[in-house]
Amino acid sequence: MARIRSTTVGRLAVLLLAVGLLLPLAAAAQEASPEASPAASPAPIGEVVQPKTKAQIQEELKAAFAATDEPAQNTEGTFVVGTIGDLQSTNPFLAESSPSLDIVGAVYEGFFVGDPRTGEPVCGGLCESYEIAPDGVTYTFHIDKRAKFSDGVDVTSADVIFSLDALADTATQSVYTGSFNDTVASWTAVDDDTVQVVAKEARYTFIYDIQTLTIVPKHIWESIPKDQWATDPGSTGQDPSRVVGTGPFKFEAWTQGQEIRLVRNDDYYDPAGKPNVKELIYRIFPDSEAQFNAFLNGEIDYIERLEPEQFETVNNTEGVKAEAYDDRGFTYYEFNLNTDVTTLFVDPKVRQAFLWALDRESIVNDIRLGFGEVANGTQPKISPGYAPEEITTTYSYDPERAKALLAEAGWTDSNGDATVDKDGQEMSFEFLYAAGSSTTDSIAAYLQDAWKAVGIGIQPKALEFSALIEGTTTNLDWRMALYNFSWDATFIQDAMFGTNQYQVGFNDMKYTNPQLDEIFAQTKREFDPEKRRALLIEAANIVNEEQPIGILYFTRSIDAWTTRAHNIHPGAWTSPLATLSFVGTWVDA
Amino acid sequence: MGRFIVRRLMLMIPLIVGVSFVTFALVNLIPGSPVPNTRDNPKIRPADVARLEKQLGLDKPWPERYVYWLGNIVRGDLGRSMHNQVPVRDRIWAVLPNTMLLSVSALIFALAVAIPLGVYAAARHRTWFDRLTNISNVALFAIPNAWLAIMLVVILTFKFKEWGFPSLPATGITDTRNGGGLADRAEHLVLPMVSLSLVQIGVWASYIRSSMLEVLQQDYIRTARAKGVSRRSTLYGHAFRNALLPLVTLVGLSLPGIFGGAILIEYVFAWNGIGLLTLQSVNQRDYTMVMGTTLMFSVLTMLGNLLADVAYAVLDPRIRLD
Repeated sequence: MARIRSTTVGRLAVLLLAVGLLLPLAAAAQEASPEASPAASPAPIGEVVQPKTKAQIQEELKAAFAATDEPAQNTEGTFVVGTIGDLQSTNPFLAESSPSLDIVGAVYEGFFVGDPRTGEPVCGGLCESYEIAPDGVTYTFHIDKRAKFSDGVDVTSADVIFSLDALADTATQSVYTGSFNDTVASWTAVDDDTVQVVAKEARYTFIYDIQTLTIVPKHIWESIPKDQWATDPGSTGQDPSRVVGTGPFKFEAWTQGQEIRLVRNDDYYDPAGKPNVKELIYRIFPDSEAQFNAFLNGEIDYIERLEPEQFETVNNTEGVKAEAYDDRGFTYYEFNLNTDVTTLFVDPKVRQAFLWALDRESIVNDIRLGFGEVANGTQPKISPGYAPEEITTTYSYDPERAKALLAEAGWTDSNGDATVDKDGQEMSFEFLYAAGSSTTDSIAAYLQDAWKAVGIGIQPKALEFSALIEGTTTNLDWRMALYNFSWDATFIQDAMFGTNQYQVGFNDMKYTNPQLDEIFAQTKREFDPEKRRALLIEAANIVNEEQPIGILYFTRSIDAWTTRAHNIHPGAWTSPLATLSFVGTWVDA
Repeated sequence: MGRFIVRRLMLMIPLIVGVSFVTFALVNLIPGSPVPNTRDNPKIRPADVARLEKQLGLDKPWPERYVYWLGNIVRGDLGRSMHNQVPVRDRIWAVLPNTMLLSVSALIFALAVAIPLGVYAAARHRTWFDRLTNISNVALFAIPNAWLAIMLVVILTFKFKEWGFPSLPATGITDTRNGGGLADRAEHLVLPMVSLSLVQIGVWASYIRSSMLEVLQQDYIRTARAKGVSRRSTLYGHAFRNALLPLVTLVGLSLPGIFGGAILIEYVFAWNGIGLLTLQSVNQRDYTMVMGTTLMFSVLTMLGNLLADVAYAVLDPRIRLD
């Protein structure tokens, strides 16, 4: 029974990973003093900015990873990765879920790669170097002159322009068209190896917006009407010969429902990016349970984001090992602040009381088995805005204080039913969370007990993940819910706390704070990392005071791999794939 | 007989329409959509979601879409997957052989074990062997086979490996690295096949046992024995063949159970079959694919039942199907 349940965990994990591609952020700062927020300066950056070139980045990564790596003793190995869910598209404009995004990322390239140390988009792939003009909106990209598609055809600016035209066209049926057209104003070829892309606004986050732009070969796709791209065998993956990219791997075969085979592109133009494994295979599993069994039995080489209790199982099994790392997310509960639905949580004191009532140390140590850190503020440990010492209020375990805050807000147990009430309204309601993980079940049970001790009655209700999402979005009539969340490397948390994100992003709460909105906008315009950090901290302090959500812990995740694989570097910003392309993972023969 | 078969085939049509209608309603009424949303990927804008839903026809109410779907089915078009745009027919054909291999081998294995077990238990009526078989039959019938499957993996894969015995693979149809040979395929088949057949073994063995016991009470058996026919010869020559007859119906009636069981077993063993495809499609809200696989399951089940009825008539001359 327990095993069948954990089925859903897999799906949840996949969704959360997808969610991880997010763009929000938050901050932990000194004091939320309104006068501290300076007037918005629409940041023209004053001078030409020349970010690090591809060669410079490669040197740095070599120093960071390859220097301590074992030299490859076998470059003909096969690396098998487990994945939950089947191929959805091999066309970079149509792929939007795992494992398709990984596969597209290995076969195709754009102008950016994620830095495995920080998650920031840095010059890589087709990018030799790029500059940002003093206006802050004009980006000039120099294409790596060696670049070739896997069928031997040279990459030119015509391919780039063709690809961006396709992405901007709704006929292509790409889910990314809307955000592309929102952020990019124009694109032109300067010469055969140079293109200019102009942003709609001078924002530091523009490189995140265009990070996933991917270049497809004009000579393959120009004869296909755009509205037929989605069903073309080169997009569905049914005809591997039409899946032509510039990446270090080639798409070799897809056995539907079973596995996806990539093989090294032996003619890859950049010797520094050539992988040390010959074959990269994605094996498809229905759920994390079957995947975990296959892994323990050595049938696959790598799995990501295990449950805490699996850590020890792996490390007690021969031939496999697991490692934990600080991740980019947190687990939190959210309040419904929509006063048309409920007024239970309008008073910030009430929301603060919820957090004072919790022994989060115990949640981390007893339920997460130590894999996590009690959250102070909203910025996870790996964020540039992580600064627990600069967070003004640290919520420790203090049930008396929780009761006092509730009483101050007018909530007392006037009728002796052990639940606090105010104006005839009882503080008692349904608490929604995702079914399928024993860890989450335990957390919900703990919350019920801990809150009961201060007079708050919740009735935990587990829902299938899609139902949970509908339960807090389409359906407006809910009270509280428990979620996990992962941030992207900007850590600007407007997707969750921005006023305009209600019913669009992750602001289920209908939380609104104009001052915070302004800080988010300012952070996006700020090109100076130090000033951005201060803004992240400032935003975190506001959220931490107002408690539209309560954060239980910052996530520590666990990845595991077989000992036949070498030079694996698990981390928040590395997938096995990124590891392969950056630092030469190799596998025993 | 010919008329009977034709009539039964005709009766399948309203049945299939009914099944497809209920399925269509159910998958469309559960929360979620095949189109990714802003929750899955923040780069996605609400306008993109609306546009894609329109392109897939999801902006129309489900009863209207059902009629449209049914119209395409009549023309032999199962549509394309809403998840990856692969034609539903291609996808089903790709995995159907895997499900047939699993179900048919489980069926044969179950019969091969259940028949001797049932007959032997009846022949040894009221001995310890009989009682033991009885108890284990009830147990096999009562324990969910997905749980048994997990236990088999724990023992035959992990414990055997720990103890240094040759162990079986935990998942899949072939080995990913260098599989594909006959031995490799057979090795991968063992656990799912055994797991899927255990429930059937329990049911069928106890059925054959009681059927044998009943036949052994018959006058003609006593007559045969009185005429001096050996015990062994009455058992296998006279009783067995008559006792086997009801089993034909039972096997036919068990086909839905075998296909249904295959869904769970395929899930546990990541066996790339039509059951697994169904579950994954439900998870992805891939409406067209769910409809395609459900249709396939319904047809297989109905054909199985029809086959059992026909076989019954062929085997028992007293039965006329007109």
